[in-house]
Amino acid sequence: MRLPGTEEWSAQAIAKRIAFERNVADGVRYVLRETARSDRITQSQRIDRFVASDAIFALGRAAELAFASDDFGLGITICSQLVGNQLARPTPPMQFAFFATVGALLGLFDVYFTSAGVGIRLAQSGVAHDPGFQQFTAWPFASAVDASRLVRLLLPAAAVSNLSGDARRVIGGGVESSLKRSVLDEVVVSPEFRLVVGLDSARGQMQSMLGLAELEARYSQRVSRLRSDEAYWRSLRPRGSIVDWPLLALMTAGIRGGMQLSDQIRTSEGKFIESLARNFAVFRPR
Amino acid sequence: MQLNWCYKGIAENPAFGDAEAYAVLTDTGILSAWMLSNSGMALRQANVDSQSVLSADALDDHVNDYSSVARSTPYISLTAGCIEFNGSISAPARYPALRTALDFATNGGATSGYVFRCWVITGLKSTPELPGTAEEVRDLNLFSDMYTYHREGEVTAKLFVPRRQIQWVLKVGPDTKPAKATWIPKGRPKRALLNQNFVHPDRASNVIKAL
Repeated sequence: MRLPGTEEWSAQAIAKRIAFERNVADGVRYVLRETARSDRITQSQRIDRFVASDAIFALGRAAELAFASDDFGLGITICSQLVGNQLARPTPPMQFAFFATVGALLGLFDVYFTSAGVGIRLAQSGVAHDPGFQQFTAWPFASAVDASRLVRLLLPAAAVSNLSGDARRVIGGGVESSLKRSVLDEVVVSPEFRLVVGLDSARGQMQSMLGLAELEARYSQRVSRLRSDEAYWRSLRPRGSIVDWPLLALMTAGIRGGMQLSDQIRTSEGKFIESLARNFAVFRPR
Repeated sequence: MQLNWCYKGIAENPAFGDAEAYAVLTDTGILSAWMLSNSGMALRQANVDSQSVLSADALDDHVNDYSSVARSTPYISLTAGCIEFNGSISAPARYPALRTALDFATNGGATSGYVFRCWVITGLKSTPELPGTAEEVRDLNLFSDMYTYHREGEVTAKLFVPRRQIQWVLKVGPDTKPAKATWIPKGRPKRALLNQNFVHPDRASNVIKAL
């Protein structure tokens, strides 16, 4: 299924834009190197750490264009490129969260919560992607907004890793956490957390549905706003993400867990994500 | 006043190739369309007219109606990237300058082109009529009516960017990777051409050394 509003995008224009985004993920690196060189930062590894790269999001945009135009296979190929990209591994929180979500959706990573932070490790069901690979980031302590945003972004990745139980214990007070009380209070009432709770318990089904409705409405509104920005939309440069990756991960986890989603989805944008989630739910990495 | 690092992407075309990109660093600086289209004007007249063409109206045309002034605008679009508010429950979206510069330099991956790194002086208020400072169009506190292209992170220079404020130029191919340029000796890596006469912005900053 195509994302509503993309019907007028030609196959040629889509291919051209995807090629640009895939190229720019690498191309940015060379310009960053020249910038670092002229700023007298010379060691290449330091350069990569110094300059938080947009490469991961460029590949994300390419994958979104592929999924939005109903090319699941190409989208998967780009996602695989994304998690294998060295530049995707610096640890700014937004990059980390996106990297974790895509890897978990592909079934390559398990994303797990602890009282001190959140980690990524190779999924037991996954193939040998990079033996010994693991990454961990501590909960941000300087900003409650950053911390709650990071938790909410990563809850879906934990859910699709089938590790939402750990996340519930960290957020719900089952274990002592380094997260501030204000962060926990905000996350507990978030739609992401309600959905995760619903995935794990029969009595949570209603909460889960309410959470899903809220996230779906938010996504539908966002895509409508992006479509209304005609100049950017027509040139296949929407001013923001056209796939809601956390919602996709939550729906994928829900489908795998036997949730009946179809009756609950109200919007055509939501149906697009559900359709994509059904593909991910049966996808197995090779 | 502030000193802003910026990038500028220019696509290769019949009127702008390796020789012109080289000349930007060694000779001309980055020229506005107005400067290019009036290159034969006598200096005395150019001095008068170049000041007259700068206005709030002309800047609005440059940003919001570029196609109508593409051959005559006295302004030059640079990019410094931007952060865009994305609703109270979503993370702000970051639009990096490098991506915008590569997009313009390659016409979205269709041609080869050039990425320049430069710095300009911007004020904390809007002064589109005054030469010498650039306008931070990306700042919606100053330019709330120029939101349409906010994502491009525009900083708008006036008339020309002096060559001594341009640090380097990198030629890139349609694939956005470094490309062969005439200034790169045979067998040498495809790197940026550094401006030997570049003046670092630290020289113009207000950090004063102790004597």
